[in-house]
Amino acid sequence: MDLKTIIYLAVCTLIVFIVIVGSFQYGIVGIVMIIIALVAMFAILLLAFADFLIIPFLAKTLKITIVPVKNYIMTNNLDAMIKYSNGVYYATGYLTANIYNYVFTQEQATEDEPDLIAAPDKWEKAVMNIHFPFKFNVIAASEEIQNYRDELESKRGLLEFQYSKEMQATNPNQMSIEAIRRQISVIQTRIDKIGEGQKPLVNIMYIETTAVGVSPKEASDNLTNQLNELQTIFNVFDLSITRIVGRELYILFKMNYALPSLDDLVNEFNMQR
Amino acid sequence: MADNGKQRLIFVVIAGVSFLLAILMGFIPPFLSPVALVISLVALGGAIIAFMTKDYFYMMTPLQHMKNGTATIDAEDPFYISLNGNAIVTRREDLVYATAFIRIPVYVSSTEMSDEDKFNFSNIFARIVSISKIPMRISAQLYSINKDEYISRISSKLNEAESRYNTVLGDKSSPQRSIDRVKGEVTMWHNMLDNVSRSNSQALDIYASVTSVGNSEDEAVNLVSLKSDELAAGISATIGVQATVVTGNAMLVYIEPDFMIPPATISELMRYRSNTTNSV
Repeated sequence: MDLKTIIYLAVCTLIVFIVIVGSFQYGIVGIVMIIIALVAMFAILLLAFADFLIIPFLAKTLKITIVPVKNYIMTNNLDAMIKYSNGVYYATGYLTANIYNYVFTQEQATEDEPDLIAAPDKWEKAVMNIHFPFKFNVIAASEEIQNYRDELESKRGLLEFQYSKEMQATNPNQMSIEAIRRQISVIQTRIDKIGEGQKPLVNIMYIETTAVGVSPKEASDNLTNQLNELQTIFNVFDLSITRIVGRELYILFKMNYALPSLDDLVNEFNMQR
Repeated sequence: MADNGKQRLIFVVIAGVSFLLAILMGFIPPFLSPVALVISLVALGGAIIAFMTKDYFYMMTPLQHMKNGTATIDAEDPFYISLNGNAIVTRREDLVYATAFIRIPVYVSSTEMSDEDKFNFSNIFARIVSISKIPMRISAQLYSINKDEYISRISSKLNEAESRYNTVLGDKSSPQRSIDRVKGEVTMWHNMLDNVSRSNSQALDIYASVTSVGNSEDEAVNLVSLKSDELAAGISATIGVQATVVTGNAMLVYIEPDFMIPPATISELMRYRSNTTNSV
Protein backbone atom coordinates (compact mmCIF):
# COMPACT_ATOMS: atom_id res chain seq x y z
CA MET A 1 0.00 0.00 0.00
CA ASP A 2 1.38 3.42 -0.91
CA LEU A 3 1.85 6.31 1.49
CA LYS A 4 -1.00 8.34 -0.01
CA THR A 5 -3.51 5.52 0.55
CA ILE A 6 -2.27 5.04 4.12
CA ILE A 7 -2.74 8.75 4.91
CA TYR A 8 -6.20 8.94 3.30
CA LEU A 9 -7.27 5.73 5.01
CA ALA A 10 -6.00 6.94 8.40
CA VAL A 11 -7.85 10.28 8.16
CA CYS A 12 -11.15 8.69 7.09
CA THR A 13 -10.86 5.91 9.70
CA LEU A 14 -10.33 8.58 12.36
CA ILE A 15 -13.59 10.31 11.35
CA VAL A 16 -15.48 6.99 11.55
CA PHE A 17 -13.85 6.25 14.91
CA ILE A 18 -14.88 9.64 16.34
CA VAL A 19 -18.48 9.05 15.18
CA ILE A 20 -18.51 5.61 16.85
CA VAL A 21 -17.09 6.98 20.13
CA GLY A 22 -19.63 9.86 20.13
CA SER A 23 -22.54 7.50 19.43
CA PHE A 24 -22.45 5.67 22.79
CA GLN A 25 -24.49 8.36 24.59
CA TYR A 26 -27.52 8.10 22.26
CA GLY A 27 -29.02 4.71 23.23
CA ILE A 28 -30.93 3.00 20.40
CA VAL A 29 -30.17 5.83 17.96
CA GLY A 30 -26.50 5.42 18.95
CA ILE A 31 -26.61 1.72 17.98
CA VAL A 32 -28.04 2.69 14.58
CA MET A 33 -25.25 5.26 14.23
CA ILE A 34 -22.59 2.66 15.09
CA ILE A 35 -24.02 0.24 12.50
CA ILE A 36 -24.01 3.01 9.86
CA ALA A 37 -20.45 3.95 10.84
CA LEU A 38 -19.32 0.32 10.43
CA VAL A 39 -21.00 0.17 7.01
CA ALA A 40 -19.20 3.41 6.07
CA MET A 41 -15.89 1.91 7.24
CA PHE A 42 -16.56 -1.20 5.16
CA ALA A 43 -17.29 1.01 2.12
CA ILE A 44 -14.01 2.91 2.64
CA LEU A 45 -12.07 -0.36 2.91
CA LEU A 46 -13.77 -1.63 -0.25
CA LEU A 47 -12.79 1.57 -2.05
CA ALA A 48 -9.22 1.19 -0.82
CA PHE A 49 -8.71 -2.47 -1.67
CA ALA A 50 -11.43 -3.54 -4.10
CA ASP A 51 -12.56 -0.46 -6.00
CA PHE A 52 -12.33 -2.52 -9.19
CA LEU A 53 -15.32 -4.50 -7.85
CA ILE A 54 -17.44 -1.82 -6.20
CA ILE A 55 -17.20 1.01 -8.77
CA PRO A 56 -18.18 -1.11 -11.82
CA PHE A 57 -20.95 -2.66 -9.69
CA LEU A 58 -22.29 0.80 -8.81
CA ALA A 59 -22.01 2.03 -12.42
CA LYS A 60 -23.88 -1.04 -13.65
CA THR A 61 -26.57 -0.91 -10.95
CA LEU A 62 -27.19 2.82 -11.36
CA LYS A 63 -26.90 2.48 -15.18
CA ILE A 64 -24.32 5.24 -15.43
CA THR A 65 -22.68 5.68 -18.82
CA ILE A 66 -19.35 7.47 -18.76
CA VAL A 67 -18.13 9.52 -21.73
CA PRO A 68 -14.35 9.83 -21.27
CA VAL A 69 -13.82 11.89 -24.45
CA LYS A 70 -15.79 12.76 -27.57
CA ASN A 71 -16.99 9.71 -29.57
CA TYR A 72 -16.13 7.23 -26.81
CA ILE A 73 -18.16 5.64 -24.03
CA MET A 74 -17.16 3.33 -21.21
CA THR A 75 -19.37 0.26 -20.87
CA ASN A 76 -21.53 -0.01 -17.72
CA ASN A 77 -19.18 -2.73 -16.46
CA LEU A 78 -16.30 -0.26 -16.90
CA ASP A 79 -14.31 -2.95 -18.70
CA ALA A 80 -14.15 -1.52 -22.24
CA MET A 81 -13.95 1.74 -24.16
CA ILE A 82 -16.34 1.83 -27.07
CA LYS A 83 -16.04 4.06 -30.12
CA TYR A 84 -18.71 4.37 -32.81
CA SER A 85 -17.26 5.05 -36.23
CA ASN A 86 -18.08 4.12 -39.84
CA GLY A 87 -21.32 2.43 -38.76
CA VAL A 88 -19.63 -0.08 -36.44
CA TYR A 89 -18.61 -0.19 -32.79
CA TYR A 90 -14.98 -0.61 -31.76
CA ALA A 91 -14.47 -1.97 -28.23
CA THR A 92 -11.02 -1.62 -26.69
CA GLY A 93 -9.95 -3.46 -23.55
CA TYR A 94 -6.77 -4.02 -21.59
CA LEU A 95 -4.94 -6.80 -19.75
CA THR A 96 -2.15 -6.36 -17.24
CA ALA A 97 1.00 -8.24 -18.17
CA ASN A 98 3.03 -7.99 -14.99
CA ILE A 99 6.33 -9.72 -14.60
CA TYR A 100 7.18 -8.16 -11.26
CA ASN A 101 5.93 -11.04 -9.21
CA TYR A 102 8.68 -13.33 -10.34
CA VAL A 103 11.46 -11.01 -11.48
CA PHE A 104 11.52 -8.44 -8.72
CA THR A 105 10.96 -10.92 -5.90
CA GLN A 106 13.77 -13.24 -6.84
CA GLU A 107 16.00 -14.15 -3.94
CA GLN A 108 19.02 -14.88 -6.10
CA ALA A 109 20.36 -13.21 -9.22
CA THR A 110 20.05 -16.35 -11.35
CA GLU A 111 21.54 -16.76 -14.79
CA ASP A 112 18.54 -16.29 -17.06
CA GLU A 113 20.22 -17.05 -20.39
CA PRO A 114 17.84 -19.89 -21.42
CA ASP A 115 14.86 -17.61 -20.86
CA LEU A 116 16.40 -14.85 -22.95
CA ILE A 117 17.20 -17.31 -25.77
CA ALA A 118 13.65 -18.67 -25.73
CA ALA A 119 11.98 -15.24 -25.63
CA PRO A 120 12.14 -14.34 -29.38
CA ASP A 121 10.75 -17.78 -30.35
CA LYS A 122 7.96 -17.55 -27.79
CA TRP A 123 7.06 -14.06 -29.02
CA GLU A 124 6.91 -15.08 -32.68
CA LYS A 125 4.80 -18.15 -31.90
CA ALA A 126 2.42 -16.02 -29.87
CA VAL A 127 2.03 -13.41 -32.62
CA MET A 128 1.49 -16.11 -35.27
CA ASN A 129 -1.42 -17.46 -33.26
CA ILE A 130 -3.18 -14.12 -32.96
CA HIS A 131 -5.55 -13.22 -35.78
CA PHE A 132 -6.86 -9.91 -34.55
CA PRO A 133 -5.26 -6.53 -33.76
CA PHE A 134 -3.53 -6.10 -30.43
CA LYS A 135 -0.76 -4.09 -28.81
CA PHE A 136 1.81 -5.20 -26.26
CA ASN A 137 2.98 -2.12 -24.37
CA VAL A 138 5.90 -1.57 -22.04
CA ILE A 139 6.15 1.84 -20.39
CA ALA A 140 9.50 2.29 -18.74
CA ALA A 141 11.80 4.92 -17.38
CA SER A 142 15.17 4.35 -15.82
CA GLU A 143 15.57 5.62 -12.28
CA GLU A 144 18.49 7.53 -10.85
CA ILE A 145 20.86 4.68 -9.90
CA GLN A 146 22.43 6.27 -6.83
CA ASN A 147 19.09 7.31 -5.29
CA TYR A 148 17.62 3.88 -5.92
CA ARG A 149 20.68 2.19 -4.43
CA ASP A 150 20.56 4.45 -1.37
CA GLU A 151 16.86 3.67 -0.96
CA LEU A 152 17.54 -0.07 -1.14
CA GLU A 153 20.45 0.10 1.27
CA SER A 154 18.44 2.00 3.86
CA LYS A 155 15.63 -0.56 3.52
CA ARG A 156 18.15 -3.37 3.94
CA GLY A 157 19.59 -1.65 7.02
CA LEU A 158 16.14 -1.39 8.60
CA LEU A 159 15.37 -5.04 7.85
CA GLU A 160 18.74 -6.18 9.25
CA PHE A 161 17.97 -4.28 12.44
CA GLN A 162 14.55 -6.01 12.65
CA TYR A 163 16.25 -9.36 11.97
CA SER A 164 18.77 -8.95 14.76
CA LYS A 165 16.04 -7.75 17.14
CA GLU A 166 13.92 -10.80 16.30
CA MET A 167 16.91 -13.12 16.76
CA GLN A 168 17.62 -11.69 20.21
CA ALA A 169 14.02 -12.10 21.38
CA THR A 170 13.41 -14.58 24.17
CA ASN A 171 10.95 -16.55 22.02
CA PRO A 172 12.04 -15.88 18.42
CA ASN A 173 9.29 -16.40 15.86
CA GLN A 174 10.77 -18.62 13.15
CA MET A 175 8.19 -17.56 10.57
CA SER A 176 8.87 -13.85 10.90
CA ILE A 177 12.64 -14.48 10.96
CA GLU A 178 12.29 -16.38 7.70
CA ALA A 179 10.11 -13.63 6.19
CA ILE A 180 12.63 -10.91 7.11
CA ARG A 181 15.53 -13.01 5.85
CA ARG A 182 13.73 -13.45 2.54
CA GLN A 183 13.06 -9.72 2.21
CA ILE A 184 16.75 -9.00 2.86
CA SER A 185 17.71 -11.51 0.13
CA VAL A 186 15.32 -9.88 -2.34
CA ILE A 187 16.78 -6.43 -1.65
CA GLN A 188 20.33 -7.79 -1.83
CA THR A 189 19.52 -9.33 -5.23
CA ARG A 190 18.37 -5.96 -6.50
CA ILE A 191 21.55 -4.30 -5.22
CA ASP A 192 23.62 -7.05 -6.91
CA LYS A 193 21.78 -6.53 -10.20
CA ILE A 194 22.62 -2.82 -10.10
CA GLY A 195 26.25 -3.78 -9.38
CA GLU A 196 26.20 -5.97 -12.52
CA GLY A 197 25.34 -2.89 -14.60
CA GLN A 198 21.55 -3.28 -14.85
CA LYS A 199 19.58 -0.06 -14.63
CA PRO A 200 16.72 0.15 -12.15
CA LEU A 201 13.50 0.65 -14.05
CA VAL A 202 10.05 1.90 -13.26
CA ASN A 203 7.87 0.02 -15.66
CA ILE A 204 4.40 -1.20 -16.41
CA MET A 205 3.38 -3.70 -19.04
CA TYR A 206 -0.06 -4.14 -20.51
CA ILE A 207 -1.80 -5.63 -23.50
CA GLU A 208 -4.49 -3.82 -25.46
CA THR A 209 -6.85 -5.19 -28.06
CA THR A 210 -9.75 -3.88 -30.10
CA ALA A 211 -12.78 -5.79 -31.35
CA VAL A 212 -15.55 -4.73 -33.71
CA GLY A 213 -19.28 -5.37 -33.69
CA VAL A 214 -22.49 -4.03 -35.16
CA SER A 215 -23.73 -3.17 -31.66
CA PRO A 216 -21.92 -2.17 -28.44
CA LYS A 217 -22.91 -5.53 -26.92
CA GLU A 218 -21.49 -7.52 -29.84
CA ALA A 219 -18.26 -5.49 -29.83
CA SER A 220 -17.97 -6.01 -26.07
CA ASP A 221 -18.56 -9.75 -26.34
CA ASN A 222 -16.01 -10.06 -29.15
CA LEU A 223 -13.56 -8.08 -27.03
CA THR A 224 -14.01 -10.49 -24.12
CA ASN A 225 -13.30 -13.42 -26.46
CA GLN A 226 -10.18 -11.73 -27.82
CA LEU A 227 -8.92 -10.90 -24.32
CA ASN A 228 -9.45 -14.52 -23.26
CA GLU A 229 -7.50 -15.72 -26.29
CA LEU A 230 -4.67 -13.30 -25.54
CA GLN A 231 -4.64 -14.47 -21.94
CA THR A 232 -4.22 -18.07 -23.08
CA ILE A 233 -1.57 -17.27 -25.69
CA PHE A 234 0.55 -15.03 -23.44
CA ASN A 235 0.51 -17.53 -20.60
CA VAL A 236 3.69 -19.04 -22.09
CA PHE A 237 5.53 -15.92 -20.92
CA ASP A 238 4.68 -16.66 -17.30
CA LEU A 239 3.02 -13.28 -16.90
CA SER A 240 0.43 -12.33 -14.34
CA ILE A 241 -2.45 -11.47 -16.68
CA THR A 242 -5.69 -9.91 -15.46
CA ARG A 243 -8.40 -7.94 -17.23
CA ILE A 244 -8.35 -4.26 -16.31
CA VAL A 245 -11.60 -2.68 -15.19
CA GLY A 246 -12.67 0.63 -13.66
CA ARG A 247 -10.22 3.39 -12.81
CA GLU A 248 -7.14 1.81 -14.40
CA LEU A 249 -9.02 1.34 -17.68
CA TYR A 250 -9.48 5.11 -17.88
CA ILE A 251 -5.84 5.76 -16.93
CA LEU A 252 -4.54 3.40 -19.61
CA PHE A 253 -6.93 4.85 -22.17
CA LYS A 254 -5.59 8.36 -21.45
CA MET A 255 -2.06 7.01 -21.93
CA ASN A 256 -2.86 6.50 -25.62
CA TYR A 257 -2.68 10.27 -25.96
CA ALA A 258 -0.11 11.29 -23.33
CA LEU A 259 2.24 9.28 -21.16
CA PRO A 260 2.39 10.05 -17.44
CA SER A 261 5.35 11.66 -15.73
CA LEU A 262 7.75 9.46 -13.77
CA ASP A 263 6.11 10.48 -10.47
CA ASP A 264 2.62 9.69 -11.77
CA LEU A 265 3.85 6.37 -13.10
CA VAL A 266 5.24 5.48 -9.67
CA ASN A 267 2.11 6.71 -7.85
CA GLU A 268 -0.46 5.06 -10.10
CA PHE A 269 1.33 1.75 -10.56
CA ASN A 270 3.48 1.48 -7.46
CA MET A 271 2.52 -2.18 -7.07
CA GLN A 272 4.50 -2.99 -10.20
CA ARG A 273 7.83 -1.69 -8.92
CA MET B 1 -1.55 14.85 -13.27
CA ALA B 2 -1.98 18.62 -13.16
CA ASP B 3 -4.98 18.50 -10.85
CA ASN B 4 -3.18 16.72 -8.00
CA GLY B 5 -3.00 19.96 -5.97
CA LYS B 6 -6.71 20.68 -6.46
CA GLN B 7 -7.56 17.10 -5.53
CA ARG B 8 -5.57 17.35 -2.28
CA LEU B 9 -7.25 20.65 -1.43
CA ILE B 10 -10.72 19.16 -1.96
CA PHE B 11 -9.76 16.17 0.18
CA VAL B 12 -8.54 18.42 2.99
CA VAL B 13 -11.73 20.53 2.84
CA ILE B 14 -14.16 17.57 2.80
CA ALA B 15 -12.23 15.54 5.39
CA GLY B 16 -11.82 18.66 7.57
CA VAL B 17 -15.55 19.46 7.53
CA SER B 18 -16.40 15.80 8.24
CA PHE B 19 -13.90 15.73 11.10
CA LEU B 20 -15.40 18.87 12.66
CA LEU B 21 -18.93 17.50 12.26
CA ALA B 22 -17.90 14.21 13.92
CA ILE B 23 -16.44 16.17 16.86
CA LEU B 24 -19.50 18.46 17.03
CA MET B 25 -21.82 15.43 17.13
CA GLY B 26 -20.28 14.34 20.44
CA PHE B 27 -21.41 17.60 22.08
CA ILE B 28 -25.07 17.26 21.12
CA PRO B 29 -27.20 16.32 24.15
CA PRO B 30 -28.90 12.85 24.10
CA PHE B 31 -32.43 14.31 23.78
CA LEU B 32 -31.40 15.72 20.36
CA SER B 33 -30.29 12.30 19.15
CA PRO B 34 -32.06 12.62 15.71
CA VAL B 35 -29.95 15.74 15.06
CA ALA B 36 -26.84 13.81 16.08
CA LEU B 37 -27.87 11.01 13.68
CA VAL B 38 -28.17 13.44 10.76
CA ILE B 39 -24.80 15.04 11.58
CA SER B 40 -23.11 11.64 11.85
CA LEU B 41 -24.59 10.63 8.48
CA VAL B 42 -23.18 13.79 6.88
CA ALA B 43 -19.77 13.22 8.56
CA LEU B 44 -19.63 9.57 7.43
CA GLY B 45 -20.78 10.44 3.90
CA GLY B 46 -18.09 13.12 3.85
CA ALA B 47 -15.47 10.57 4.93
CA ILE B 48 -16.44 8.24 2.06
CA ILE B 49 -16.45 11.09 -0.48
CA ALA B 50 -13.12 12.39 0.86
CA PHE B 51 -11.59 8.94 0.38
CA MET B 52 -13.07 8.70 -3.13
CA THR B 53 -11.27 11.90 -4.16
CA LYS B 54 -8.01 9.95 -3.99
CA ASP B 55 -8.74 7.93 -7.13
CA TYR B 56 -11.98 9.33 -8.51
CA PHE B 57 -11.51 13.07 -8.30
CA TYR B 58 -11.87 13.39 -12.08
CA MET B 59 -15.36 11.84 -11.81
CA MET B 60 -16.73 14.25 -9.17
CA THR B 61 -17.74 17.12 -11.48
CA PRO B 62 -19.08 14.88 -14.30
CA LEU B 63 -21.24 12.99 -11.78
CA GLN B 64 -22.64 16.27 -10.40
CA HIS B 65 -23.61 17.40 -13.91
CA MET B 66 -24.85 14.00 -15.06
CA LYS B 67 -27.75 14.07 -17.57
CA ASN B 68 -29.93 11.04 -18.42
CA GLY B 69 -27.48 8.70 -16.69
CA THR B 70 -24.52 9.96 -18.76
CA ALA B 71 -21.51 11.46 -17.02
CA THR B 72 -19.28 13.31 -19.47
CA ILE B 73 -15.68 13.68 -18.36
CA ASP B 74 -14.58 15.44 -21.53
CA ALA B 75 -16.73 16.35 -24.54
CA GLU B 76 -13.78 17.45 -26.68
CA ASP B 77 -11.74 15.44 -29.17
CA PRO B 78 -9.05 13.55 -27.26
CA PHE B 79 -6.21 14.93 -29.40
CA TYR B 80 -5.25 16.69 -32.57
CA ILE B 81 -2.20 16.47 -34.80
CA SER B 82 0.27 19.31 -34.30
CA LEU B 83 0.76 21.86 -37.09
CA ASN B 84 4.17 20.45 -38.05
CA GLY B 85 2.65 16.94 -38.06
CA ASN B 86 5.35 15.50 -35.78
CA ALA B 87 3.21 14.83 -32.71
CA ILE B 88 -0.28 14.55 -31.34
CA VAL B 89 -1.37 17.21 -28.90
CA THR B 90 -3.75 16.92 -25.97
CA ARG B 91 -4.72 19.51 -23.35
CA ARG B 92 -5.35 18.80 -19.66
CA GLU B 93 -6.12 21.60 -17.28
CA ASP B 94 -3.72 24.41 -18.24
CA LEU B 95 -1.00 22.18 -19.62
CA VAL B 96 -0.36 20.91 -23.14
CA TYR B 97 0.99 17.41 -23.74
CA ALA B 98 2.64 16.46 -27.02
CA THR B 99 3.32 12.82 -27.86
CA ALA B 100 5.59 11.64 -30.67
CA PHE B 101 5.92 8.18 -32.17
CA ILE B 102 9.12 6.54 -33.41
CA ARG B 103 8.86 3.52 -35.70
CA ILE B 104 11.48 0.81 -35.08
CA PRO B 105 11.73 -1.36 -38.20
CA VAL B 106 12.73 -4.86 -37.08
CA TYR B 107 12.63 -7.29 -39.99
CA VAL B 108 14.66 -10.13 -38.51
CA SER B 109 12.89 -13.33 -37.49
CA SER B 110 13.91 -15.68 -34.68
CA THR B 111 13.96 -18.55 -37.19
CA GLU B 112 17.01 -16.92 -38.80
CA MET B 113 18.83 -16.44 -35.48
CA SER B 114 21.35 -18.60 -33.68
CA ASP B 115 21.01 -19.01 -29.90
CA GLU B 116 23.65 -16.33 -29.41
CA ASP B 117 21.75 -13.93 -31.71
CA LYS B 118 18.54 -14.59 -29.77
CA PHE B 119 20.30 -13.92 -26.48
CA ASN B 120 21.80 -10.69 -27.83
CA PHE B 121 18.46 -9.62 -29.32
CA SER B 122 16.69 -10.04 -25.97
CA ASN B 123 19.43 -8.07 -24.25
CA ILE B 124 19.21 -5.31 -26.85
CA PHE B 125 15.49 -5.06 -26.23
CA ALA B 126 16.15 -4.74 -22.48
CA ARG B 127 18.64 -1.97 -23.25
CA ILE B 128 16.14 -0.06 -25.43
CA VAL B 129 13.60 -0.16 -22.63
CA SER B 130 16.08 1.46 -20.23
CA ILE B 131 17.33 4.06 -22.68
CA SER B 132 15.15 6.93 -21.44
CA LYS B 133 14.99 8.71 -18.11
CA ILE B 134 11.50 10.01 -18.82
CA PRO B 135 8.74 7.44 -19.34
CA MET B 136 8.86 5.94 -22.81
CA ARG B 137 6.46 3.37 -24.20
CA ILE B 138 7.66 0.57 -26.45
CA SER B 139 4.77 -1.08 -28.24
CA ALA B 140 4.45 -4.01 -30.58
CA GLN B 141 1.22 -3.63 -32.51
CA LEU B 142 -0.45 -6.16 -34.77
CA TYR B 143 -2.97 -4.39 -36.95
CA SER B 144 -5.05 -4.95 -40.06
CA ILE B 145 -3.59 -3.50 -43.24
CA ASN B 146 -5.82 -0.91 -44.90
CA LYS B 147 -6.78 -2.49 -48.21
CA ASP B 148 -9.42 0.12 -49.08
CA GLU B 149 -7.46 1.63 -51.93
CA TYR B 150 -6.39 -1.75 -53.32
CA ILE B 151 -9.94 -3.09 -53.15
CA SER B 152 -11.40 -0.01 -54.85
CA ARG B 153 -8.79 -0.35 -57.63
CA ILE B 154 -9.80 -3.98 -58.20
CA SER B 155 -13.50 -3.03 -58.06
CA SER B 156 -13.08 -0.39 -60.75
CA LYS B 157 -11.14 -2.88 -62.90
CA LEU B 158 -13.98 -5.35 -62.40
CA ASN B 159 -16.57 -2.73 -63.38
CA GLU B 160 -14.59 -1.86 -66.48
CA ALA B 161 -14.30 -5.52 -67.45
CA GLU B 162 -18.02 -6.13 -66.82
CA SER B 163 -18.98 -3.13 -68.95
CA ARG B 164 -16.70 -4.38 -71.76
CA TYR B 165 -18.27 -7.82 -71.44
CA ASN B 166 -21.76 -6.33 -71.81
CA THR B 167 -20.58 -4.37 -74.85
CA VAL B 168 -19.09 -7.41 -76.60
CA LEU B 169 -22.16 -9.49 -75.75
CA GLY B 170 -24.42 -6.82 -77.28
CA ASP B 171 -22.27 -6.64 -80.43
CA LYS B 172 -23.42 -9.52 -82.70
CA SER B 173 -20.26 -9.25 -84.81
CA SER B 174 -17.91 -9.95 -81.85
CA PRO B 175 -16.02 -13.22 -82.29
CA GLN B 176 -16.55 -15.89 -79.60
CA ARG B 177 -12.84 -15.75 -78.78
CA SER B 178 -12.98 -12.10 -77.62
CA ILE B 179 -16.21 -12.78 -75.65
CA ASP B 180 -14.43 -15.64 -73.84
CA ARG B 181 -11.38 -13.48 -73.22
CA VAL B 182 -13.42 -10.65 -71.65
CA LYS B 183 -15.48 -13.19 -69.67
CA GLY B 184 -12.21 -14.68 -68.37
CA GLU B 185 -11.05 -11.23 -67.36
CA VAL B 186 -14.30 -10.61 -65.43
CA THR B 187 -13.88 -13.95 -63.62
CA MET B 188 -10.25 -13.10 -62.79
CA TRP B 189 -11.13 -9.73 -61.20
CA HIS B 190 -14.06 -11.36 -59.37
CA ASN B 191 -11.78 -14.02 -57.89
CA MET B 192 -9.15 -11.46 -56.99
CA LEU B 193 -11.70 -9.28 -55.20
CA ASP B 194 -13.04 -12.30 -53.30
CA ASN B 195 -9.55 -13.40 -52.27
CA VAL B 196 -8.40 -9.97 -51.19
CA SER B 197 -11.40 -9.32 -48.99
CA ARG B 198 -11.42 -12.88 -47.62
CA SER B 199 -7.73 -13.13 -46.64
CA ASN B 200 -6.58 -11.72 -43.33
CA SER B 201 -3.79 -9.20 -43.96
CA GLN B 202 -2.01 -8.03 -40.85
CA ALA B 203 1.21 -6.18 -40.12
CA LEU B 204 3.34 -6.00 -37.00
CA ASP B 205 4.90 -2.65 -36.13
CA ILE B 206 7.24 -1.92 -33.26
CA TYR B 207 7.31 1.68 -32.15
CA ALA B 208 8.25 3.88 -29.23
CA SER B 209 6.32 6.87 -27.99
CA VAL B 210 7.31 9.67 -25.69
CA THR B 211 5.48 12.67 -24.22
CA SER B 212 6.60 16.17 -23.32
CA VAL B 213 4.62 18.74 -21.44
CA GLY B 214 4.59 22.48 -21.91
CA ASN B 215 2.59 25.60 -21.24
CA SER B 216 1.85 26.07 -24.93
CA GLU B 217 1.53 23.82 -27.94
CA ASP B 218 4.75 25.18 -29.47
CA GLU B 219 6.72 24.50 -26.31
CA ALA B 220 5.39 20.95 -25.87
CA VAL B 221 5.82 20.06 -29.56
CA ASN B 222 9.37 21.45 -29.72
CA LEU B 223 10.34 19.59 -26.56
CA VAL B 224 8.91 16.30 -27.78
CA SER B 225 10.54 16.75 -31.20
CA LEU B 226 13.92 17.11 -29.52
CA LYS B 227 13.27 14.14 -27.27
CA SER B 228 11.99 11.92 -30.08
CA ASP B 229 14.98 12.74 -32.33
CA GLU B 230 17.29 11.91 -29.43
CA LEU B 231 15.47 8.63 -28.74
CA ALA B 232 15.39 7.69 -32.44
CA ALA B 233 19.16 8.20 -32.60
CA GLY B 234 19.66 6.18 -29.40
CA ILE B 235 17.47 3.32 -30.60
CA SER B 236 19.12 3.31 -34.05
CA ALA B 237 22.57 3.11 -32.49
CA THR B 238 21.54 0.37 -30.04
CA ILE B 239 19.61 -1.94 -32.32
CA GLY B 240 21.31 -1.11 -35.63
CA VAL B 241 18.21 -0.14 -37.62
CA GLN B 242 16.99 3.24 -38.86
CA ALA B 243 14.34 4.33 -36.34
CA THR B 244 12.26 7.20 -37.74
CA VAL B 245 9.79 9.66 -36.25
CA VAL B 246 6.29 8.96 -37.55
CA THR B 247 4.49 12.00 -38.95
CA GLY B 248 0.99 13.07 -39.96
CA ASN B 249 -1.88 10.62 -40.40
CA ALA B 250 0.50 7.65 -40.18
CA MET B 251 0.39 8.16 -36.39
CA LEU B 252 -3.34 7.45 -36.31
CA VAL B 253 -2.88 3.71 -36.82
CA TYR B 254 -1.16 3.65 -33.40
CA ILE B 255 -3.92 5.60 -31.67
CA GLU B 256 -7.33 5.25 -33.24
CA PRO B 257 -9.15 1.89 -33.27
CA ASP B 258 -10.80 2.63 -36.62
CA PHE B 259 -7.34 3.06 -38.17
CA MET B 260 -6.07 -0.06 -36.42
CA ILE B 261 -8.99 -1.97 -37.98
CA PRO B 262 -9.85 -0.13 -41.22
CA PRO B 263 -13.48 -0.51 -42.42
CA ALA B 264 -12.45 -2.67 -45.41
CA THR B 265 -11.01 -5.34 -43.09
CA ILE B 266 -13.92 -5.56 -40.64
CA SER B 267 -15.64 -8.36 -42.57
CA GLU B 268 -12.44 -10.45 -42.29
CA LEU B 269 -12.37 -10.05 -38.52
CA MET B 270 -16.07 -10.81 -38.19
CA ARG B 271 -15.66 -13.89 -40.38
CA TYR B 272 -12.72 -15.02 -38.25
CA ARG B 273 -14.77 -14.41 -35.11
CA SER B 274 -17.79 -16.36 -36.39
CA ASN B 275 -15.52 -19.24 -37.53
CA THR B 276 -13.88 -19.50 -34.12
CA THR B 277 -17.28 -19.27 -32.40
CA ASN B 278 -18.70 -22.00 -34.66
CA SER B 279 -15.69 -24.23 -34.07
CA VAL B 280 -16.26 -23.92 -30.31
